[in-house]
Amino acid sequence: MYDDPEALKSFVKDIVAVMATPNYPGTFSAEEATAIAEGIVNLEVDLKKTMPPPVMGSAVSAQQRN
Amino acid sequence: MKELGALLPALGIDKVLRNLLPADFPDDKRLVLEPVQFFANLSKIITSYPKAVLQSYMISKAIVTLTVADQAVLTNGSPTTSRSDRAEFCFKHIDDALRFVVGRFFVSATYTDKARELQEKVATELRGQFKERIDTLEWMSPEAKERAKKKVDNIQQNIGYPTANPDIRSPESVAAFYKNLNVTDSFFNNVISVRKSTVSRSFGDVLKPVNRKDLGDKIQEPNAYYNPYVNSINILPGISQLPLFSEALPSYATYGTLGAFVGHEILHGFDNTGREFNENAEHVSWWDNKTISAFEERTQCFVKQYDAFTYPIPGGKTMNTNGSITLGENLSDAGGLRIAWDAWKKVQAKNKDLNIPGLERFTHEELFFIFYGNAWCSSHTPEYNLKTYPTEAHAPTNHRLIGAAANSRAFREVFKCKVKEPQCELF
Repeated sequence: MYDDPEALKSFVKDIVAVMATPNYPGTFSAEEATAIAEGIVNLEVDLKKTMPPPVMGSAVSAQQRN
Repeated sequence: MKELGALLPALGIDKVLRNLLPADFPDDKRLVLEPVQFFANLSKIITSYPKAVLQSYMISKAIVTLTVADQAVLTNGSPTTSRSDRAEFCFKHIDDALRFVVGRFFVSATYTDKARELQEKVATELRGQFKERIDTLEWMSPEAKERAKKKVDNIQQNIGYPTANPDIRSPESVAAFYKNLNVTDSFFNNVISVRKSTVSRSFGDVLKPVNRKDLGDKIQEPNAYYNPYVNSINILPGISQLPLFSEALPSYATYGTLGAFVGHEILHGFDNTGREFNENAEHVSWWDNKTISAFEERTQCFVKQYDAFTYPIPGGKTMNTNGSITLGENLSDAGGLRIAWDAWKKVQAKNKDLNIPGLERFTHEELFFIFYGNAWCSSHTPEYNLKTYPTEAHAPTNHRLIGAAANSRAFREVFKCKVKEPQCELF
């Protein structure tokens, strides 16, 4: 999921939307929840970009095996 | 620890590590943390986001990581994911949680002593072959060659499965390894228990001497790897299955597949990352400047070669393979194939191989490369390509195959290419 921005955005919106319901007073409005979901997706992209390649070389990657 | 805290103040990672490390871990003990620049960049990224985003990120990450359901449930059956078969889902969890238990059964069912002996023999031959190859390299100084050969001699060859901590041949040893695992009727609590015991074991080992014979816990995976921190090659039973390997196959098949894999791992010790570690696996500069310049000049050929490859992505578009981030793998493919071929030619000269029924129309030389190509047979969707290859250290498999063949003089001669010179050559 963290490899798929759209799935991640949808999932995060669901979580933040729960936090924005009246059951959780003082949390986020729906607009704030949307902004946070966008922020989380951008943060994930930024973190992925800065990740160094693995130091241990291998025959194939874990992703290729799948 | 203080330096680490200063490097990443936004996370307070020194405090996190202090809680995970053994209580007797000395304050002045130095930790190796690489690459340093990554942590500096991480700090910058974290401080550029609002707290609400960071907190929500951590919560969502924890939920995804610890979830006991699969992704389709979390995304309400989004078309980008599919609910996996229940048995497969459960097996994957067991495989992750109790790797040595599954590994023990995997090894006893699929891996023979004969296979292990043959793999030891091939690996030993290839190390000798690579030392011979080093002697012929014009771009390396005599001193660098001697130290490189010493590094090859020092490679720890781990073939097969662990025989200590745990010895997977012994049920008692495997049971002792998992003694801290608390298995209950609660699947979620079991997931937490596995994570706690794994982290605890990992940090508990931090003050123990480095075990160069540790080949990890993923023995049933079809893979092999090189560990620069201990200068070891690790060939796993998972990669020792058909169609990649069988001790019953002729030598051209064995060296074209297993030989090339083993050669690839040996060469990782001398790729653009591995070359930064000396014969004692210390991260220091050990080549003279002239040798380094010649190495870098030659590697640029590989970067340009793979930069020119393209793969399909959604929308009928294409993307270029990244020759820089895949450089280490591509150098290892080229050098590994070369020494596998040279080693096989010696074996072939001593023993006459049998033909494989149905493949008699090919020469054994052609079959060496056909088996090599067969190992990379795969098919991926444009969506998979876009998700994987922009940041992946391995080039798409078809590019790995085409690139390695173009860089092989032997391939060009066997298949009678007009140009016999390799496109790029380093080792």
